[in-house]
Amino acid sequence: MNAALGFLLIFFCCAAALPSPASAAFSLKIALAQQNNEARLAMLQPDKVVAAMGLQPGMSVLDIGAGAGVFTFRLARALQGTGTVYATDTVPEFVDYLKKESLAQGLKNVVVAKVQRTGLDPFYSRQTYDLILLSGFYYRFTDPGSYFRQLRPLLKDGGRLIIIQPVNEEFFLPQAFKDEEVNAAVAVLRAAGPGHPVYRRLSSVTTGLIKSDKAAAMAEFKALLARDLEAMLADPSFFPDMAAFYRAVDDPSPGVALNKMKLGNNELVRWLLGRLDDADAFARDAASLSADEKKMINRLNGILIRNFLKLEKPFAKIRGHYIAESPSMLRTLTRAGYKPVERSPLLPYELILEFKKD
Amino acid sequence: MFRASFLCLILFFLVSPPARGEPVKVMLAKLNTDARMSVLKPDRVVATLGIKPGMSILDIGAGTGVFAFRFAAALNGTGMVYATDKNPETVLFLQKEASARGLKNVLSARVKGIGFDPFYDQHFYDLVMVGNLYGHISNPKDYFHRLRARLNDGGRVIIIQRVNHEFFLPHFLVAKDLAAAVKALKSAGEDHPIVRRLQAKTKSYIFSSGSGITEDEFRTLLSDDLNAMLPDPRLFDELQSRYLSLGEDNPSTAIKKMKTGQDEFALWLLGRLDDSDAFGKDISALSDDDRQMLNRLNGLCLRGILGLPRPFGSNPVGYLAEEKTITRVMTSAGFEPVERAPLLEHELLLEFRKKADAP
Repeated sequence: MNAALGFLLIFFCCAAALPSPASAAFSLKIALAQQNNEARLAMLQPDKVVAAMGLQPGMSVLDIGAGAGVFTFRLARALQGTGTVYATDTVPEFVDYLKKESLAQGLKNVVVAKVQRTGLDPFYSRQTYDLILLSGFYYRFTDPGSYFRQLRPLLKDGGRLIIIQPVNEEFFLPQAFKDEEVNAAVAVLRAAGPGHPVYRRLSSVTTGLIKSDKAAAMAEFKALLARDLEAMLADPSFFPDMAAFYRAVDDPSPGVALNKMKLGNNELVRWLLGRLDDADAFARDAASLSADEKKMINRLNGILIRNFLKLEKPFAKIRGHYIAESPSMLRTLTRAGYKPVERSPLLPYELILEFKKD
Repeated sequence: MFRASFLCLILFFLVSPPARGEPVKVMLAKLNTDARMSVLKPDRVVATLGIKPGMSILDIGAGTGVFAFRFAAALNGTGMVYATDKNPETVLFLQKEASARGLKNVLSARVKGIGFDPFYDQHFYDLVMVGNLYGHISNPKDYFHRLRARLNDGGRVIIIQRVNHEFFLPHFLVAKDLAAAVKALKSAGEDHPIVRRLQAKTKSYIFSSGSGITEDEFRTLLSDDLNAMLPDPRLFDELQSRYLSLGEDNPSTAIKKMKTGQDEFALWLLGRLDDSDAFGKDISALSDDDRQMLNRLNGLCLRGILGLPRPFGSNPVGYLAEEKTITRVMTSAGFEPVERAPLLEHELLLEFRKKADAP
């Protein structure tokens, strides 16, 4: 059997599932807004991604799970009327939208197809491809190994497969901040005062704006705040400072400090603390931390900062599920007969993995 | 600057933190439960520590004397056991109980809750017991450095601390939890991944009346079976397929349905374990880290599905320092670890010896 496929469940009897928003009441309007909003585009930077793909005129490109066409239309434009972009989706509303929109945009090199949810749809094997793109739904495959093995013969020699997936990290993106969220965070910071470890780590420009009653331009303030918070995520001394700040006079132990941070019964925080403390990570220089320790500090600090400032996790809906990560995807694709193409990271918050046929 | 604090032993020995000034009777009842003793095994611990006649022993945060009275008995009327606590009622209880038991080698003293109490500077010690208290010492390095000056040559410090892993014990399966688990297993049906992993005897108690198994026997059977599932690298895959219904393909939906109450933690563990291919590996090929993560993930799922709380509730101390952290701190305070085979399965017992002063 497919023991090698590890964690991925054999749910659809060895067939892979295609993506589709599972909710019964699918709203195209909401889905379009989710995929095309400023924050999501700031994270995904589709123009930059497409520009870096090195598309050549006449190419045959497959966009699996095209959704609102964030990549489809850009790919079609990059091909400048030549070649073909095959855009597929399992959701009929998306398929209709993609058809109408390519027509409206005068893109004649787009072919849209509705595909089945499970297994590799027969549509795919009618063509071969120079480039196959799959963005944002790798996690939905119940058996990606089998899916990509079936897809492999459809990739031309020298053709590439690109998988894009949000990173499983904490980050702060100005475009993702809601105005009311930022206002509430400012109120929290004002109440906490300049002695608080988060406040102390803000730049003087940011704290200047917090102190003044003058309404600064919201967009500008969001950018400052996001930049400052982002810098805190990697700081190994952030947690010790927080623990010292929340230390109770009558019981100065770290456990009580944690309770005072009002994290609820968050077992992940305790887990991260145990691991990081065992590795002496809090006392070490940021430069000497291992990749694993950096990842743990990022998560711990992120949870503490969000909890303190009552900030939502950006794209919680998109990222609120399990995200397969780089080693796991690399393993699965390698076993399915692909080899990774080394590239320097293009985006900070999206993982882009590129493969060729092995 | 040494600001150390120790809430008395009580805080740690309880299912939930007590209200301050809780009557000693209530404390006693909670402290000396079978469940607690089955984990702590104080007789075994004291028997193994090499207590010799005439020793001077300090029991910090002695609580109701779980260790103090056993030390005193092991010293057989010789030496001295200094039993401290910050709770005056506890201290009074220790005094009364010592005289009731005719133990003349027990001296109980009330110490302050924060920092190194001057009382400790009045004596020298061969052995210091720190039972489930480490997490409340805010600057352990300074604290133990100061304590080191009061240790005789070769003097030892024993630190006992709850382990940070999942386990099941018959004593913790109280009637209410047992009933919830049986109900959950019954409705899950015989093809459920947990039920499939139960021994035939355990299953017969759940599914057939007149199995001839008593509730107590069942408690032990069930907890043995669940413990055997904790290290299983295949359990999660199977649970996940079970909890994803047709038309859903998002692993986090399955986790939600298992009601772990700790989805973010479960997803974190899932990501790490999948990255290291732990679910596809043989148990014997797993790293210590993978094993630890698998233990936690399986524990979360098992408890969620069966409606079982963690032993001692959700950790009232908040954060438990672990072995490497404590060892690092003790080393920097002038101690060296004493290697010994693990004595307790569900408590971390660390032993340190005073490092000789440089000549």
